[in-house]
Amino acid sequence: MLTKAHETDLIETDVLIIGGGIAGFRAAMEACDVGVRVVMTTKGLWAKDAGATWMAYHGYQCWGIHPHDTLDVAAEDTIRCGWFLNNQENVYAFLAHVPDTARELLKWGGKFRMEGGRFAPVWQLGQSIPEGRSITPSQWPHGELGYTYGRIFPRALKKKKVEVAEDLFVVDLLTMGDSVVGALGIDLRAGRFKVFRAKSVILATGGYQGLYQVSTANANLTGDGHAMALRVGADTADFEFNQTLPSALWPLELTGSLLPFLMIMEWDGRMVNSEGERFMSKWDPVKMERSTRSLISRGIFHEIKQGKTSPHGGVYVSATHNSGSFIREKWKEWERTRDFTKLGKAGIDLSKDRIETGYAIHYCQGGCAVNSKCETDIPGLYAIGEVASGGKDGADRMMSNALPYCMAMGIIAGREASQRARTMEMPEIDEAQVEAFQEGALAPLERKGGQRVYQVKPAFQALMQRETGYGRTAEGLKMAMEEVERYRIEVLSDLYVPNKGKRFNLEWIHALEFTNLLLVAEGLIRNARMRTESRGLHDRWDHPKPGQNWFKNIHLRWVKGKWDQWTTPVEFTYWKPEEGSLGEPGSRGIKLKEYTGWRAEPLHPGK
Amino acid sequence: MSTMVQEDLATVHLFRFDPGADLDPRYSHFKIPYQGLTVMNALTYIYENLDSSFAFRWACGKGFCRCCVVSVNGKPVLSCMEPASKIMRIDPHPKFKVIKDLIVDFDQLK
Repeated sequence: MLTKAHETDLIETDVLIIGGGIAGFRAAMEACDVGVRVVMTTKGLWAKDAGATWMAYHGYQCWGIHPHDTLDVAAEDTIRCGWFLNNQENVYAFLAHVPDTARELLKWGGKFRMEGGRFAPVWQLGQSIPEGRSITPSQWPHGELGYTYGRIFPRALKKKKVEVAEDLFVVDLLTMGDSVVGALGIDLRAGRFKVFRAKSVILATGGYQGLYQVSTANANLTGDGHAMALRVGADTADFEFNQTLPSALWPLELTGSLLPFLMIMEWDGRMVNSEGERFMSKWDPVKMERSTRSLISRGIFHEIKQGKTSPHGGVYVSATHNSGSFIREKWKEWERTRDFTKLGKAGIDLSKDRIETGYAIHYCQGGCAVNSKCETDIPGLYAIGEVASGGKDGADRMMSNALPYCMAMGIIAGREASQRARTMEMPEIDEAQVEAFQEGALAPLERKGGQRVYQVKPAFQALMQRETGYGRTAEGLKMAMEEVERYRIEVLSDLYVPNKGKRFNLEWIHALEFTNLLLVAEGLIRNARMRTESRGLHDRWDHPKPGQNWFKNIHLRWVKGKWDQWTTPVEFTYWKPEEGSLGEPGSRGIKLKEYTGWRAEPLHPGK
Repeated sequence: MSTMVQEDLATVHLFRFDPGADLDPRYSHFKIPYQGLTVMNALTYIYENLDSSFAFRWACGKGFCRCCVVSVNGKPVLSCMEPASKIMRIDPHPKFKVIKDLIVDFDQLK
């Protein structure tokens, strides 16, 4: 039996959800309501770490607050932000749920800015209605949405019969024939393997921010779900698009903070290079710094690449052009926030000091190419949230769409996965496969010597930051690919963990995560090499313009250690770009067809 | 951290206890560079360079997620937000039951 080779526990469930952020949480709630057994695993502590959800800032985009802001308007904005590369069927199917999800946030006790019993939304980038579409926490800027979620979700989940397996790192998905039938995990608290036998499995593992040096989210997002999906041969897409945001480089206390971006949005912040030039005029002369997030990051990157940098290698963001009274008033409003406490400690005065700014990885847009039921093309395997990004975001995710998408996809996948589970018997698992995965996971522990992950990962991250950020070139990508292949061949087989204990052995997990990161890195570089144009978040130094023939998604499948790569043309089901447009910002959409699927009631109209 | 070549070193006394295996808690002692580092950086430095057998939590590193709370010289702090100091006795949060070393069970009070 399973326990023969290694200490192993077996858990049976109808639905297994891997990942405990907002998407996994919502799927767990839904599956519970359908009435099946649910287990949700999280790599760290539920609602405390192991996820980007708890770090969300302040926008949750929700159509239907204003009478003229319909699902169509929100979908068009999303598709325009995505340079018309989105899977339009998914955009509609997911966004259709969003007003209901906002009602849930209220019901669970979330406090939002309201006026006269109605949401008082704020305007955020890309929203075509001036009144704004993003609901925002009432305590903002002193309390972020992440804080709200961390407070209300555990309370909501407590009322349901969901088993939460914390400190549980999932190594790989188990398969039988073509189907996914469970997963193998490591219980870090017990230092034992855990085998999950499940009728349906939902991946909700977030992104792969750990590929890069600086992240606005958690560095422990390491593409585990992406790598697992690739290893079972799932169809993935869009790995070439990674979203970044301006984030602080200096003062040290603020490294990785989004303050520069908030200054741009709320303090009319301006960006200059070391020569004092407002370089955004080259990228978006009309909106300047308040352009899209991809253009701002590209602007910063290009100044850095040309060496027009501040002492710590970035550009400057300043608010010094504002009047003294504006700064004093704003400072008063913001002074008790996390970032401003740090500013105070660092002795920064925003009426005369500037913040040195680079860019940090924020959101990963490659992932499982799911359909509108959140099914991957592997029976029994669903994917939601960031790990299911293949298609929903196009070439650039619209600001404050991420978490509404997660909630909606959680509802859909929770329901679909439960219904599938109800129609079938508990599947058998392949014990030889379990043992093989255990051997693989134990290899770095059992080696007597070799390279530690901490010796190799910094150089790998620097390589990714340098060659696969913005300003990608054919030569740089080729070099990066050779390096990553070298890591895979030479380093992976030599990774070693000196501490042999299995309980809370962080380095062991870091070594296994590094294996996942390398696989994702290869996919990313492959796609970036193939896309010989610049579009949205994909910026090629040697192909600076969007291409005529690139209304396509690049798909990847990893089959028995070999990559299969192909493109599919975007289906302009509901919207197509206006004549002559290549999808670039500012392009209007032309409506082709009405969406006739189910949609939630809008929040306020007719109230 | 590579820029942290310093003569000035901090003394760290690090709480160690595995309830399943040890009879009593003990302390491990380290001397490490500390200027410009947070307590979290200091723990990571020890883990990656000196002793990888102790258990601690880190995640966001920006003061959001709250999982990294420890006690430094008797005061509970978020280790990712607290500057490292010259002499540090680092203990688990005093209110909760220890699982291993600095890792506590937030669901179980002592």
